[in-house]
Amino acid sequence: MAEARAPRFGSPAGWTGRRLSGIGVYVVDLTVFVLRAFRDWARRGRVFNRATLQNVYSQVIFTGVDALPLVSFLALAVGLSITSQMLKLARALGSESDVADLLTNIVGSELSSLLTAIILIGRSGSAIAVDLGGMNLRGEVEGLELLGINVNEFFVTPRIIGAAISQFVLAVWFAAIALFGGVFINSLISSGTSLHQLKRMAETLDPTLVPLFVLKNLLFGIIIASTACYHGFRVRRSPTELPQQTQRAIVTSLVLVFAADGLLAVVS
Amino acid sequence: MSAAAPLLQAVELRPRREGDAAMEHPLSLEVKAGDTICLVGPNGGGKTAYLRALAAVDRPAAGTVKVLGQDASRLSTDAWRALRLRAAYVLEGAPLLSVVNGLINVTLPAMYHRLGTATQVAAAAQDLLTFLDYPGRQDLLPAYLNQHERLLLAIARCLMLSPELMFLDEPFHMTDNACREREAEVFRRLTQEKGLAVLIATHNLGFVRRHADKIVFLHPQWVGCFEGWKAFSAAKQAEVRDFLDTDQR
Repeated sequence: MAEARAPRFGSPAGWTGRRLSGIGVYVVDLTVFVLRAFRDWARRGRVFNRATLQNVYSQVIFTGVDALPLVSFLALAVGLSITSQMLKLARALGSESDVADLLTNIVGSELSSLLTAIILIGRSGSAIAVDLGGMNLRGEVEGLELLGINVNEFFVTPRIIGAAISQFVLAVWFAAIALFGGVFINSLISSGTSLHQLKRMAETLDPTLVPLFVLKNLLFGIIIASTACYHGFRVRRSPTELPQQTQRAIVTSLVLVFAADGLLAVVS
Repeated sequence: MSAAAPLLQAVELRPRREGDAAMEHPLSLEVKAGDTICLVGPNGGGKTAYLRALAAVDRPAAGTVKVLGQDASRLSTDAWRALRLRAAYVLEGAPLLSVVNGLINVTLPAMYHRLGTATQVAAAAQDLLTFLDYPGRQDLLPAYLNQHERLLLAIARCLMLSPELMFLDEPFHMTDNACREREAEVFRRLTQEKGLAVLIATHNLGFVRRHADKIVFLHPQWVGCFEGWKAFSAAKQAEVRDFLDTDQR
């Protein structure tokens, strides 16, 4: 007699419970992965090994320096669309005093971090996952392990540190171009009447936002690189796992970055 | 450890299969400095599984293996990493790090383990590449090198760590006869000039015939150890006869 099959999705409550517990287990697993990587790095005694320091430089160059033109272009586009439009709207409504505050908070603090993170996820997160996944498939990672090399220290920590530094620097760059560029272009269009907004922005900048901005961007960089490394190392034997894990790395990074952003906004 | 002490001792060793079950047949083996040990047998006999267990790369399902005096099943992670410097293992296909060139592949492990200044490490790498008679370019990425060149670089990066034991899984994979001859000469020099013990899992019976001090025959139905080709080729065991007859056909 054929066995009765369990329904594929079960009850809605059961399905929701399984999904939530799955997410919980995933987040714990990812956190342990990151903590292990940093523990292995710290245990070596010196901040960076000569061999691993090169990996940090490479990551900063690929994630940070190489992404500058794209980030600059997108920041200018945001400056043109959002900053410029907000200034126009403020002028029409006659509430220019509040606009500086709004611009600093929305464009400077929120949009710059989020849009930079999205660029990094699409550009570097996917590249890290494909890179490590491919190396795992070809036995390159195991080859190094068999030479006594700690792959966490060699592959994971440099990528996390490089991505965190790059995310922070690029977000600052993005914010600067989006705000200054937007104000400058708006001034050109409206005969120099908006340049005083720059001074107002500097005055309305809340100093308590700065540590939060730094923390948030470093956290985004850590999330992006660690998720990519985590999924890259999950590629085992079949090449078909490579696109699957890369896709998961991208989607998970997006979800975690937005969740972290929301959480930090609520906490602050 | 005294000079005469074996570098590797395996007693009733049974590696794990995929799926964690133990291999059926136990293997006992002793390896001394300068030995060339060949693991041979048909596909599915478990050459890679036994080689990995002997090298303490994978924990065995049963039995014991002592590598350079250390019980492989009791090694901490740090001790296992330290052992890897003295017991080198070259995987099948000799994979190198694809993002750096040949020379950096050779120097990287020594740089990572801080075995000298950059100049000293680079000089040692050049000496080793000369010793191995490396014919290729050092400034190319591994993807642009042939399999023989990749194998020599993989051996060189292991030698940078001054190992006493070297394990190689199918080193003659995808190389022509001329390259196989050169590789066989490299293994002979490793054992005779550098005093390494070399364990090789291979299908290259020509090499086994001329160079093996001991032959470990691994078959799904039988496992045995022979003192050289003469003893192996004279064996009456049906599985050995089948294997050798198939090879001659």
